[in-house]
Amino acid sequence: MQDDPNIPEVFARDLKSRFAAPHVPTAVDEAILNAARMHLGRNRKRLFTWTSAAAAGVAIATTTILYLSNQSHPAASNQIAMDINHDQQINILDALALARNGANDRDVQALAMQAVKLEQNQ
Amino acid sequence: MTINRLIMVVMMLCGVTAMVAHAQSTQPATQPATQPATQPVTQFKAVDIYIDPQGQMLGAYQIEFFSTSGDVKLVGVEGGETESYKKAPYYDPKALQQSRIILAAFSTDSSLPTDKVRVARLHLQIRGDVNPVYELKLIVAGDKDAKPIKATATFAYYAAASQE
Repeated sequence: MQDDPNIPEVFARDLKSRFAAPHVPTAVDEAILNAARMHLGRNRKRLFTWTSAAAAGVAIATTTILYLSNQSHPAASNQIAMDINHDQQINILDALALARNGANDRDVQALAMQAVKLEQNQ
Repeated sequence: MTINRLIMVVMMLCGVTAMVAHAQSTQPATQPATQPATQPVTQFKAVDIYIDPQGQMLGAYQIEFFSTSGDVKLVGVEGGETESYKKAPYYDPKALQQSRIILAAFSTDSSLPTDKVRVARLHLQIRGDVNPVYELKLIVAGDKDAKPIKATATFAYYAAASQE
């Protein structure tokens, strides 16, 4: 009010004398402050809980999406597994190498059949 | 007079019926005579596939065979001439009734061919008068240890099996 240049100084003094700030005992003041701190602390805890839950949700969703996308392209991982001689191609040499390594007939035949698939040899 | 007319009508009806029956009986006989002229000629031929491993042991091979012209369909796959490749090679069953096939086989036998050898025979159905053109690509050939080797792949007609 003192900063307001439109209010006369006398009027301002009168107002102050009539509406003086009430005296608050220190104990009450501290009790109010403590209550406020506790309230803010509880809010902070709640915020932390919600943030953690959201982060966990995002992590679970990301893991699920990555897992499912890997599952939907099993051919890619299969292809790596089938490239026995690591020449970046699946062909009959991989089947022969597998047979030479003593793999069972079913696996060898599966690999040989993969090698002759028309789609793979486009 | 009435009886005469009746007899005449009956005779006319018989005549018309006979004509219709004759026309119907002659129709199917003419159809087969015209059909072969419109149907394309179908031939069955066999093509032999050879691999020449150029002195090295042929442990495995993989080839691609396809026609670039003509109406060709693969109808069967046979193995080759030597003990190592007598069994029919691996191929995608989807290739049958198509004009492209991938063939592959390997052998773990101790005695493997080292010279030009027939490894497979393909049976083809060829429709129409167009002479088919074929292509053969050697995808890979390997020795007994599954290591790639230099080799050549060739093919030749075996014989016309039958003609419709």
